[in-house]
Amino acid sequence: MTVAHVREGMRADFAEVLFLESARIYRLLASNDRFEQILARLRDAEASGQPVSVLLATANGEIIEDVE
Amino acid sequence: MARKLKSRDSESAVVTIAAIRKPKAGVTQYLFNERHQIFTMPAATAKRASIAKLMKAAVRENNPVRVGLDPARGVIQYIETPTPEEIEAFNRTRILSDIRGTTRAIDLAKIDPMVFNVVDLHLKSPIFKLCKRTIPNYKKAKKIFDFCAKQTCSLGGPFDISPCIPFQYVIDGCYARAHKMRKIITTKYRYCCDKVFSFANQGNDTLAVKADKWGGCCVQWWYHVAPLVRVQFKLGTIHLTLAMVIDPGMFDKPVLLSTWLAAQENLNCSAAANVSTYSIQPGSAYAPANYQGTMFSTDPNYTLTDGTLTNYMNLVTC
Repeated sequence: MTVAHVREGMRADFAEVLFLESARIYRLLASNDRFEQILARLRDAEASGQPVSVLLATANGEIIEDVE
Repeated sequence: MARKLKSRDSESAVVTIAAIRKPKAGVTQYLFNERHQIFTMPAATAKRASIAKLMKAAVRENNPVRVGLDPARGVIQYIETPTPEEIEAFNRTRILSDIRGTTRAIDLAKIDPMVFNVVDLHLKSPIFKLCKRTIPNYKKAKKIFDFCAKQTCSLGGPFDISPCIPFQYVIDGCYARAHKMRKIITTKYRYCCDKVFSFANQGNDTLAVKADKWGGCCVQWWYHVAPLVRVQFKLGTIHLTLAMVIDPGMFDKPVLLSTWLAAQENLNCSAAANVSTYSIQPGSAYAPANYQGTMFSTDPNYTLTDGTLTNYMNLVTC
């Protein structure tokens, strides 16, 4: 998936992640143990335009569990 | 259970050069249309002069180039001329600038629907000149709408097309549904069909819709897209062509463009509901290629379209 934009600071409990390949709004929960690390990867991916592999918490869900 | 989505990790890409900046102090910066990041070229890069020359020629002639990029360091590693096959593949997935539509900011509270939806008054998009065969009346537009709506996977079939269209999975897939309907409108009915994209791409804006047809839950998107058709109306002696949207995921009939946009600002679903911008594009536009909503990818053979429709055919939203 290609990161279109990462929205931070709107809510303390999650960041919103938007991908070019989907119209829906995905969330990275602050409660994720690796929140800062994953957020940094997503920011880098947005800047570079490089696609990332996204692991979702549930099939067809909106919660991002990990990014590779 | 977690699900892994597709992965592509190549640092080599075919790109077009948006600009070459030469600051008074510091190194030359290279901006690519397909990247947000600004890249530079290290002084130690082999053949630096010939690379710079190739870059300048690519800008001048508006040709794509193959580049090796190191995003972590923000540097260009190499540049090559793409093969004819690579150029063809690249051109298939982008809309050329000469047929690109218009993207405009909008404040729905301030528009006058009596003017806004009239094609020859407010919506003077240059792409409308590319196709003149507009829908002759509302009755025909409704017939087209009803045919599309009947292809919903939620009815269980039999269907006139394959795959069916998962209108019930409102949360995602609008790009594939819109493209399949575009195929129906242009090949079965042979009328012009453009696309309208709406975006929530300013601040914390979100598109928020109540999915009344599918259980009544609220859904939120960062963008939405549907086929835009031009429909002729006769009011007494006055002939008008109005911009209407075919979106059976949200409505039971064709609606005016302003109605379609307004439905995406449902404040009962989200306090941040707001359409930041909208964009009228040729029907060939498939999905946004950037957050700003100014570049779009294409799917000329409907392969991405049918793949998404198939993946979503058994899913529900509410």
